[in-house]
Amino acid sequence: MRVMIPIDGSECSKAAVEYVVERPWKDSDTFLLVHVVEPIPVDIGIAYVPGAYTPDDPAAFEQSEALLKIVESELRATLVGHTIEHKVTGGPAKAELVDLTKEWKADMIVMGSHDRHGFNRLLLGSMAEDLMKAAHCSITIVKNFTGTK
Amino acid sequence: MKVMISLDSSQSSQRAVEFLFCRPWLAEDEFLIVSVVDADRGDMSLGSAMTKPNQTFNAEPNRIIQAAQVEMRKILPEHAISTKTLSGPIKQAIVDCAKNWSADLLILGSQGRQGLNRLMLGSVAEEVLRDAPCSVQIVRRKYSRQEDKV
Repeated sequence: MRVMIPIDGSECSKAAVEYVVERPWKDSDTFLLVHVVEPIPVDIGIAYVPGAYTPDDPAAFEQSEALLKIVESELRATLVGHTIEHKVTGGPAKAELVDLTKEWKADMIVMGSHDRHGFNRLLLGSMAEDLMKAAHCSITIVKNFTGTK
Repeated sequence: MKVMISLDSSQSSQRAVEFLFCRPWLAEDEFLIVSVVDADRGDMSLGSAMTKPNQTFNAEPNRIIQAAQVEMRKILPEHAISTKTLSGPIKQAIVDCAKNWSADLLILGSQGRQGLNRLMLGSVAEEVLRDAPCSVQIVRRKYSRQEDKV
């Protein structure tokens, strides 16, 4: 099975990684860690805030690459013998991730959820729900997962 | 980990069961198979619904979960596998059961409705995902035991 794990660096994506680490897998399962660098809406001036970046800013990609490398080494420590890759792409997160599930032929997405409710959900939405609707593969949404180790 | 599987008579549910069979599980994992009584079934007479409500409404879900339990026992003979028939609005029944049983993972099939069908019929999987107290696994692709077995 080909398992894609979107990583955004949040606590929720850490929970998803923890879930992958603690659950059993078959030797043939392969993993892909993905981080999407989202474009910043330049037209409302956010890109001019100090510390902000534009989508083609190499620094953003370097940072994401570094983040994924840390997670990858974490996975490698437990999932010995599995193929683990990582990939950083740029663009709107949902579209990029859906395209990537097709391109990489993912069988399953494992991701965390911020579990937003009420106004926050209305404002920020839910990437997990969006992906569940748009992707054609199976999806595991990790919520309230407390590891055993 | 406590794994709850929600089934109905659809093709997508069958896929969820297949998925369960072809994936590895830890020795300490426990399973609960549930099915929600569908009160809107068209194939019943008012007479039988009134005189034998239990058989009329529960027959189908009971059959589904028992069949799944028998098959699961064959493949996972060492694991604790229990079953439960639920009633009430589907989403609420599933979410409440997951809470009460303190499930860690809830496995569901999804029809993958698109467009107008989605708009009209909605998606149980989506609603459950929103309110579930635990992780949710939505099974979409067809898993075949032979193909995935290593």
